[in-house]
Amino acid sequence: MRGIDKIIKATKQDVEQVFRIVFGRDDLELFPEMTARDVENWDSFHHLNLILALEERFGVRFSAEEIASMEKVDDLFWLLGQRGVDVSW
Amino acid sequence: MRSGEVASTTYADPLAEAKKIVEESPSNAYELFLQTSDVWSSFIRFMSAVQFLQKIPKEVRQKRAIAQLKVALLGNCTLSYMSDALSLALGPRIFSEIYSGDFDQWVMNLIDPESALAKFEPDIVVLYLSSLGLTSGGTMLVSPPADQIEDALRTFAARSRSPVITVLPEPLLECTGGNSDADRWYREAVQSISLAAKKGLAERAITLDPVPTLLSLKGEWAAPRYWNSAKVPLHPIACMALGRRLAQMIENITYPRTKVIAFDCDNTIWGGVVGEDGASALLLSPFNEGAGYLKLQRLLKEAASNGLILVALSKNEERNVVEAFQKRGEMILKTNDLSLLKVNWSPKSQNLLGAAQELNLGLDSFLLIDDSPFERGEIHAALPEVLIADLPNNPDEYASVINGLGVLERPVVSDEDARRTELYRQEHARQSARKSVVSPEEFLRDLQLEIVAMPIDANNLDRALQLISKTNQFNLTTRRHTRENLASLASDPDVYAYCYRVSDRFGDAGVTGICVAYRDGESSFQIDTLLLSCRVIGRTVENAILEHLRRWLVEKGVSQLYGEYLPTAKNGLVSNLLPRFDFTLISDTDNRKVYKYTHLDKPFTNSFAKIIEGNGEGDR
Repeated sequence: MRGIDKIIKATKQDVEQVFRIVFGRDDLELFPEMTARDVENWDSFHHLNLILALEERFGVRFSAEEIASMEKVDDLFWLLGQRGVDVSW
Repeated sequence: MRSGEVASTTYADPLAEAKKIVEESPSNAYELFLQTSDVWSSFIRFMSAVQFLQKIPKEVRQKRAIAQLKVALLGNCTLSYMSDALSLALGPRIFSEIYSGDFDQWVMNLIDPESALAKFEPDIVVLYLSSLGLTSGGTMLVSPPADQIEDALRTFAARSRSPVITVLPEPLLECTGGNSDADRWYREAVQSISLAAKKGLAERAITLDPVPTLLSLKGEWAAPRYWNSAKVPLHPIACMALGRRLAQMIENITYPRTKVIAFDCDNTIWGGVVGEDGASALLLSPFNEGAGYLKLQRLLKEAASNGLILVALSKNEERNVVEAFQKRGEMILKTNDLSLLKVNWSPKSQNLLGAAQELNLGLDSFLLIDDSPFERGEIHAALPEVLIADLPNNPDEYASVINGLGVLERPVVSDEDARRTELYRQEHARQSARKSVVSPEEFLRDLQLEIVAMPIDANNLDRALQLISKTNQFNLTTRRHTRENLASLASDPDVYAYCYRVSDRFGDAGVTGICVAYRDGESSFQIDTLLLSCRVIGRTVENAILEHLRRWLVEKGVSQLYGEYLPTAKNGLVSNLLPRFDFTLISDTDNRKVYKYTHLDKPFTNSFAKIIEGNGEGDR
């Protein structure tokens, strides 16, 4: 695992804001078991946009396997945690 | 793993304000969007901007644009980031409709007269065959299908007049610059595709090499993971940058923004100040600090040969500047490259405005090159439409910064083609409602000029006094009234004492005009003062003021209006103002001309300004 220089605290709302921008939906709300099926347009292309936006927003990088393995939003929060972004629900 | 807690920085959405008002006022939201968004450095902002623009009705964006273009993007990869970036970068000036061809449908699209591309009737076509697409993601280094490209382009060109931009393939990530298979493949691909474009399109071939754009990026430009999962050929940030670069090029081919370059002389095209140092001391040697100035001269020379108009815009004695051109043979730029010399001591904004009128070109056709931040600021404040190069301190970087603006390239090379493109452009311009180059009338018609006429009172007295004491140029009488004097004129019901707030679509200039007229007979009035701040000269504000005055006088039952012109060293600008409005000269001495106007029943021409009655607020 990569070394982590610092731990960043983030909230569910911070992540939610990124989702809202990527999917163009101002009313989108995250919940732990949320998957691509719960969000209109969450296809592979939007998945990439989401990853890119999250990487930019929190200054992290995900590997291709990690990107592919992210199924539900809780996985994403866990992965962010692995990169030093501590997201609280 | 070290742990130290850092509070999360919140992400401030730069479009928050615009988003708030988009529902109730889409056009204001769009204006706000254009002012606030730098979308190019951040993917989140870019996404946000793209999403936001989709909420703005098409008509609002169309209204703001000077032209419309249909652009077709063809290629062997996902083009959606490029397409969004292209449309974002072309707007607000050019409203674009973009057709993105399906992957690998580019051949059919080009050759089939019934294809989706043909039905779309593009004004311009972009073909991008990415290296990753040509090599199955870098796994198979097979030669690009040069013959197929050539034939498809030739077939398309025989049927359509639309220019085609061929984007050359990007380097493979594996390239080292040496002699690996990847390097050899890449070099061959670039060569064979540019040759295919040249053979297929003959002199109409336009190519764009993505490498300089990729090099200009701060971060990585390649991202194989995007290829593997979504056939995105470059990092999305790089796709955006390439889309933006394409927008520049398309603009330069179809509706070039810049037609005129107005440039300063001292410390801009030569080192030193000619009036102080003398022509022979100017720095112009390629071997020392002169190099940057010479590079800029070379750039200007190239622009002139591409048909751009050059105007020297310098605060100097004209003879000094001319002497420098004559005496210094090493100058690349010669006087016959210049169309106009605006060399004097007047504010540069005025000279530039004068040049725009003489050339009959809109101010947005001008690029200003000036080393002085003050002069740049002055012009920006007075003429915000002028594009201003933000020159760095180091003259060596002048030319690259100016080239980086992307407004001087003229991608079409041959004369024949230049003519054809020009015809094409003219035809297109006629079809569209508005043009990038406007006559003064068109310019004024689109200006949305508004004049709020306010009686001078305690609320605006300070500003009125300031104008009265400072305005030199557009000032008929240059009467410097004292505060007491002005206050008593303003309180007299038999005196017309107004100030005017002037605004147009470029902004609010604040209170920038004064007119005072007093009763000098049973049915006659005399104009005591008529002045305009130089900020609002040239927009027919005076027409609106005179018309406002006329209506006021008619209500008072006045039938005659006298006016006078008192010449000073600085107010030559208005020497002919009253005759222009059909005032008759009744007495003429060296230091005073008196005029009379007797048709007060007939409105003054005021075609462009909306006159609004205001109260005394708005001391701005």
